[in-house]
Amino acid sequence: MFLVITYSRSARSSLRNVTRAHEETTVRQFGRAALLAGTAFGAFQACRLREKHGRDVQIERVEPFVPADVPADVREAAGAYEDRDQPSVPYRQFSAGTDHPGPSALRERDL
Amino acid sequence: MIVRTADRTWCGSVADLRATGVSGHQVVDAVRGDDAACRVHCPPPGPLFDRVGHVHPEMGLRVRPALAAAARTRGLTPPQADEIERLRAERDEIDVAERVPQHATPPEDDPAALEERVAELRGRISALQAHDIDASDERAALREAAARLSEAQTTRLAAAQTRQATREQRDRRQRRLRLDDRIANRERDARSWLVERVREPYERAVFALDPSADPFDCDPTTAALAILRVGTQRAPVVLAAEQFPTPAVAAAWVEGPVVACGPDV
Repeated sequence: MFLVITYSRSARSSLRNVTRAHEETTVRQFGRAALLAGTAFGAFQACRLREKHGRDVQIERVEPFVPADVPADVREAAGAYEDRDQPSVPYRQFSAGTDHPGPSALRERDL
Repeated sequence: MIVRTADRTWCGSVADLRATGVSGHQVVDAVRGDDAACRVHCPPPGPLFDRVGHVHPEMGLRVRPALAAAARTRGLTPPQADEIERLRAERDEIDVAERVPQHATPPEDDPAALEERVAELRGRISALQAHDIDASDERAALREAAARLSEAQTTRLAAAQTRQATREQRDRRQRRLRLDDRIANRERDARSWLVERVREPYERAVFALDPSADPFDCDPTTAALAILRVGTQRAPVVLAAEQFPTPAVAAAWVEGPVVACGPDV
């Protein structure tokens, strides 16, 4: 899918026109951004906006998320932290002394 | 005002071009100083002329912005004016020009893996040296790995800098958009303020032209003529409408010069 983010009033209204005219291609619309379907038509609309408004249009390619995209230890850490007994414990403290990766280790790891 | 066509000249506040075949659009071009089928000497047209300078049945007209422009010609300044000017200055200072060359491609080699390889080779070399074994193959491999590591690190740094610069540029564009939205809101407030200041004379003018008309939902020529009555225009009004028996009556109504034209063909 294509995430289109606009950075000017004219680009934003062009994007709104596209999403209104092509509901079947619009996965989601959020104000000045929209998620367009990952079809050639979605790409065509995204490129058209980019041609018209230049750098006032940002296009990102996004994929549906599946848990398998995330390493098991990260998923387990998230599950364990959300299941903690004391809601006030920050993750840094929670992860210390356990097998769960600490926040800085998580930040440094590119997926 | 002086209006010249190929074979006639008009001086004063009325020029009747209805018999000449010169169209209203041509006169509008002439008022703006562009080359046209006639020449018009007159004060330069202002923002009000852009909205109601050419009165004809097919004209498009947004009453409220035009009325706000008319209010400004009466010297009215909305209380939002200073803030709008300040926001505009702030907005125009935002620089979104590109400065960075595009290096967004990440390195082909993984720097972490290369680092590991370099460390491993170093370890092997010192181990071989400790046992007086020839390590020249390992040294060559180390040189190559170190060169690739340095290249990967440089590419990675360049890519990170490009990403950072792109993000900062988008932040500036976003800030500019926020300011544009604020300016548009203040301008809307300013227009409402201006419209309220001239609403009564405008409604009276519409009533005088057509007592049955709704001032904010009426025929565009009626609304335009009422707006011209409210505002002050020094450039001539180009008139191709039937409301007045003669162009002179129209000139008296708008209190300014009028060029009468026939309907556009």
